[in-house]
Amino acid sequence: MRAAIAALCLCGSGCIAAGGEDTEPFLDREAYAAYVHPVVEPSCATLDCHGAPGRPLRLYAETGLRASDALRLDDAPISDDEIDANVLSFAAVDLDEPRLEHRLSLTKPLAEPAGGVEHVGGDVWLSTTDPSYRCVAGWLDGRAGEVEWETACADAIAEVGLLPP
Amino acid sequence: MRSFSLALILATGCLGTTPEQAAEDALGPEAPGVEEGPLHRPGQPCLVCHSEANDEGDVIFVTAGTVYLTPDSALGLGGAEVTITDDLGRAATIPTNEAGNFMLAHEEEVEEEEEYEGRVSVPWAPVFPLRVSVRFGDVVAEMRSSVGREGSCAHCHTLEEGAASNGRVYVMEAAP
Repeated sequence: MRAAIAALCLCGSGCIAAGGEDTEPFLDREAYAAYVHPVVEPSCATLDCHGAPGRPLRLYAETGLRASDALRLDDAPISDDEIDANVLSFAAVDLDEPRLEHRLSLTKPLAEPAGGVEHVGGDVWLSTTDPSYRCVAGWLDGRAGEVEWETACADAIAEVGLLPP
Repeated sequence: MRSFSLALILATGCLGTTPEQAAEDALGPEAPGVEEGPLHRPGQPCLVCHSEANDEGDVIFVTAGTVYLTPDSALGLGGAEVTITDDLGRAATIPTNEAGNFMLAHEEEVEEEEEYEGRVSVPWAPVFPLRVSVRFGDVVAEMRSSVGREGSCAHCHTLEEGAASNGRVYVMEAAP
């Protein structure tokens, strides 16, 4: 229960705790918005995948599910509330798994021969060297801001990023 | 007593409907004057019926939908071309029929791409995610994101735009 409360508390530094008392990478909200969201929006957050209300790891996105009709009708960019909700979705998925490589956020999209698990949406990443894997893993592991992590995210965005409006 | 209950349920037809049947029922009847076929039910989620989950012995679509000229066009747009590219880089181009409908089917028995009234059949099984673009004359509209797993375009592109829908598949914001 305490772990759950901790995971759902937005701390003062703009981070969200994921994991229990023994583990804390904190999920950096700003890093998510700038680097991780542009990677997961096209790969995970489409309306027919994790942009579906009620699906685990429900994700909001400009091109996917919006938090309100008004945001869609206004063609508004992703809102702060939607970003917060997405970070909490990641926190909730991995609430009780302290081992990075076992977190569902990483094992679900990863091909099974590379250590992944069954995923209705198929193999999104073929190996742990995939820039998108390294970007999301680095963020979950609290390595946002490191040069190597930023490079992985930049590579991932170049590879899978959305087409311009 | 149990067998009596079962007999009663069977007799009264109270076993309920499957989710697939319920989804099909929710689509309502055919529009007056439109027969079942390539021109029917524009704007509706085609794979509710034309899918492996609800195979009625007809062709199963990989993906199918309806194209409109603008976001608020009342009628579908014939004569557009929808190009679908799968995750392995294989592409099929499908002309929309007069209702604006288009359908992509996988049929192993066809030797090469075949086209009939808005439906193209290919011998290869498209691998998701799919990229989609629509051409109408000189105008090309490209879907910004990909199709992750859902074959019915109208699953996400319902007629009314909203939080969980990008609205219709359209070519341009306003008619020229």
